[in-house]
Amino acid sequence: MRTDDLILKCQEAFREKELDLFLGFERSSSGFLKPAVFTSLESLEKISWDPSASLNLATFIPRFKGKKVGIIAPGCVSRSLVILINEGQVSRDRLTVVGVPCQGLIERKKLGDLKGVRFLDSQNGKFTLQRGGQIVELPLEDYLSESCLDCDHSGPVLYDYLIEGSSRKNPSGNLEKRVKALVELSPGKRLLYFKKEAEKCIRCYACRQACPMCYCESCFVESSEPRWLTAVPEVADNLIWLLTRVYHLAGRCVQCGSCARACPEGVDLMSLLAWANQSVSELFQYQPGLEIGEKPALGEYRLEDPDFFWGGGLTEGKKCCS
Amino acid sequence: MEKFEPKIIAFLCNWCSYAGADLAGVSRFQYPPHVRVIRVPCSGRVNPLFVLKALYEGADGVLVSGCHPGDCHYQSGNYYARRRLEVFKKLLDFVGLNPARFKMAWISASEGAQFAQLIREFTAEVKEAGPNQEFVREKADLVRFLNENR
Repeated sequence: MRTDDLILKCQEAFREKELDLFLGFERSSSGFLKPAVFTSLESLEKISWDPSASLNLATFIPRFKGKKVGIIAPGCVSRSLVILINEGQVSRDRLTVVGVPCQGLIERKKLGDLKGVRFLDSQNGKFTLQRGGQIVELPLEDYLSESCLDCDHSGPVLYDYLIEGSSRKNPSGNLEKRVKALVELSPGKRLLYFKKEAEKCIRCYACRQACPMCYCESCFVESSEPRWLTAVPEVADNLIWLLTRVYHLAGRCVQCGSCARACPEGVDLMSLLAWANQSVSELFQYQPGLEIGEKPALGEYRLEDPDFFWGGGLTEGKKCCS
Repeated sequence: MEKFEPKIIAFLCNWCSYAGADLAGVSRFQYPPHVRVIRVPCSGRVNPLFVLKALYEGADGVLVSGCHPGDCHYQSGNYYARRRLEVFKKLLDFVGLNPARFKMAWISASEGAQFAQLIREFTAEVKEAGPNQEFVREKADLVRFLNENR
């Protein structure tokens, strides 16, 4: 994919569809891409897309209600858009999607200290950085974020314009293995693991801000009546936050990893989210964000759903959990 | 050591399970006195945060009970609850909470005996699980201090 093609295609979309604004990335002073809102044809000359981006752009969509918005979307962003359409957060006809190929995004926490680091370029599975006056070339594969290594929908599923190019293939399956390893641990060890993760959390809610599915105008954590959480940095409070977020995202998360990349403390959000998606797909045969018109898994029901309630007749004798 | 008397919070739906509990009472069925009932309009009203908050505030076990599938006063509330609480229960198990602490049940208004049986079973399970250590607040004193000096 060449940047020139991207600029031309986005400008074409902007002109043809008479868009109010266009969501994309532009280069920041450190060379890493930052999200940007483009409002004119000329400004779109700065639009850019490479593995140094981090945020899922669909996060901004619910903020521009009633506007005609364009957006560049790799696989995960396009799936987020499908869910936003299904949940009534944006209407399809006001949305113009320019699908882009994706090679995965860099997890900046893997780069260590970012002071004085400049991102230069990325090509052919490698990327170059300027670090303390020196130029270093690094293999992309070693620095991709966990969710990108595991990605099985790297190409866009929904688009009006498509930019040709190769997307990342061969999902590593590491996340699935990690969840499996956790499930095989004893409950006590799992509790210890998640309490340690919860201990790292500083409840800055960066994960929520970076998440395209967390669009609620008022979140339960800020509610003062009832007050669900105290402001005290308590592990139990952190755990309630993490658990409730995961529950709210069960069957809605596309595992873009935007939250995990945004987390300053490196809390293991991905294993929780991957587990939640796995169990929803096992229970209700549901994959989020692949089909327009689908209802969210926990927003509908079927009469023949599995029933593990005490006194339930349908699955007598079966145990709920291993 | 003092004998462990668990605290159990039960969210019972207004139309079936609450009436079932009432029937257990008027029929003089005996069941352990550890359960505190909170009446909700429907099992579909139960936000999983209720469960977390109850455990957080020191409950040793939480029960959610509603009308049997097909009997919901609001046609479909219990079907939604069934999906949601199922995922939520699995989530609690995944993070290592003792599975005995959270139970879901269907109790109709005519099932007084079953309600007493359910409470007997659940209380025994929670006693077996012991006091709730999973959601212990290490800084609980600080929380109390802040709340009292607001």
